[in-house]
Amino acid sequence: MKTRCSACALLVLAGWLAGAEPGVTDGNLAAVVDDRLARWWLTPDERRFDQIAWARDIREALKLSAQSQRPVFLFTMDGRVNTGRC
Amino acid sequence: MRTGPFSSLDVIDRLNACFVPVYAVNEDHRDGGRAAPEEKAQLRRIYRDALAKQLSTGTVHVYVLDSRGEVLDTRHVADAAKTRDLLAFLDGIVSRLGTPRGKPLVQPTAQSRPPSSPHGSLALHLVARSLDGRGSWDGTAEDWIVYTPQELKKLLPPAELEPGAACSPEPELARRLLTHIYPITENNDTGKNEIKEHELRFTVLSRAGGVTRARIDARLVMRHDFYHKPDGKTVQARLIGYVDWSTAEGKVKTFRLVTDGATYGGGTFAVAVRSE
Repeated sequence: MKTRCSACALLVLAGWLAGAEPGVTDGNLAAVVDDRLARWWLTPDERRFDQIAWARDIREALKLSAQSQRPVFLFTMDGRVNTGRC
Repeated sequence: MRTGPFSSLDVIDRLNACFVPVYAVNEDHRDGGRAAPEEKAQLRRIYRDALAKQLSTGTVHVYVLDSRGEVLDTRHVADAAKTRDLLAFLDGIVSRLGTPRGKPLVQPTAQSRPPSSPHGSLALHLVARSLDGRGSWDGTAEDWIVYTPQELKKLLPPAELEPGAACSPEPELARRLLTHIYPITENNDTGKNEIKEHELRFTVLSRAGGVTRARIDARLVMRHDFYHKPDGKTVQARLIGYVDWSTAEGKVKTFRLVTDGATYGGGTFAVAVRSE
């Protein structure tokens, strides 16, 4: 019995450490989900990439550069830097 | 870079005031990629120009061009990823050219956007992040998953399902969402993921005022290599959520899904999904 209780406690602890919370019922489901979504969603600081005035593509950047005499800053990458999947 | 120097207010200030910033995705510029032929040609020209000038080159790289489109200087990402080094590089270019400060030339806008889809589609926006800094990179990542109106009818429980009853959608529709449940890694080719076990279940909770609510329970075991070579690493995740939709039209009002325990590579991570 003691062994079984200890195993249960370990499972609960492992679940909690992995981000799970005990006691999600149909009644509190929406509140729990909404709370986690609010905590884990992108913060304004994590969206600063969107504050950069990115040109649509290289051709537009070259055109704007020629008009403004500003240099082009080109970043090339594997994956998609705009979503963080890179 | 996104959560590193591209989140630095100083870097953002320099780029917006003195440069024309642009990024190019290599996959789009390879043969068969979705970039326009003229775009692919421009990227090849820039790369060759840098080579000819004996400047550093690479696929993950910074290239600075003058207003005639010629390469002025370059930086490897290992250097550009250091905010202080990138600032010094940018300031050096501005000083060299005598570029005056000015307003941004393009209106900044959200760079992660849902793909175009038919009217009435469900666009799900996903955010992933590490919870403990182990097993994956820091920062955040986003994905978009879209279901067309026809697919939505197969995804949601049928109208005749009574509260308390449960059902699962076609496996392909479930896998389309679940294959994106992984933390921040170098490998982002979901075609390489191997879903070993999965379950996506909707249980109708209520039907009132023309709106049906269903609870969502999901479970996933998926091999996902950190880099682009097999390493045996596996995502293990449980998810919970709910969806509200107009019973008559089948139009989703709210779709929310979060991890309820997720591990990968010895660390824990979180994923949150919401309808947009």
